[in-house]
Amino acid sequence: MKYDETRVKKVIAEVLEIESDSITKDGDFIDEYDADSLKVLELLASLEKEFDITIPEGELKKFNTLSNVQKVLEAL
Amino acid sequence: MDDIVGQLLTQKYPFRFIDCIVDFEKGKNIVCKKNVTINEYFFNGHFPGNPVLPGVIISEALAQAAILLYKKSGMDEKNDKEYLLKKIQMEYLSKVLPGDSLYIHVEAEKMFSIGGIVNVKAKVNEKIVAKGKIIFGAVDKGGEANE
Repeated sequence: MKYDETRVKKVIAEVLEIESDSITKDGDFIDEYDADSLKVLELLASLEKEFDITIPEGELKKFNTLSNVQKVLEAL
Repeated sequence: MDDIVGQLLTQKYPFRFIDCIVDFEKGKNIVCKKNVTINEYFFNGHFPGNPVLPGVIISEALAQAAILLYKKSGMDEKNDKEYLLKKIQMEYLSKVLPGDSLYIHVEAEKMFSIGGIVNVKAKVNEKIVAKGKIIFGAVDKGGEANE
């Protein structure tokens, strides 16, 4: 895995303002962690900064769980 | 002279806080200018005998410049979006007074169809008087920013 899960979870936790330990693989960001579309945009931008990568806008709709975020990152 | 700011911004007097665009690079950054004048209504109360530009007005000017960057970069070609503030992180460093020319610098961090993230700075005489980050939503008119 190119992208360390601990680092990914840390970024998600900071942006969504939740505890890293509370993030599960399939926990939905909007339904379970009270995020909205702009929080997810902020998450995408933060992950880009964290890993010095560019994530296309088309991937935004897949940014709904830790598991799906990891799949997007690994496919870059 | 065309008032491109007036054409692009839905905010009008007394809530328009950008006078003109000074510089622009599509998709990347914009520099706007606001001349601060004693005639502005809020100086009557902020504060009597000691006029100081309110920080929230600086923030609003920065947000309006962000909208101009977004629109001039072609992100709202049909001109059918509303712009809603989502999150703002600001630090205010110096007072801005009547007579100052406020230069508003906005740099795009991310611009997508649903909104944008920008880094912002306001300067007077090249000195940074405020800086921060703004996240805004661009929604179809009548929509909500947090959908």
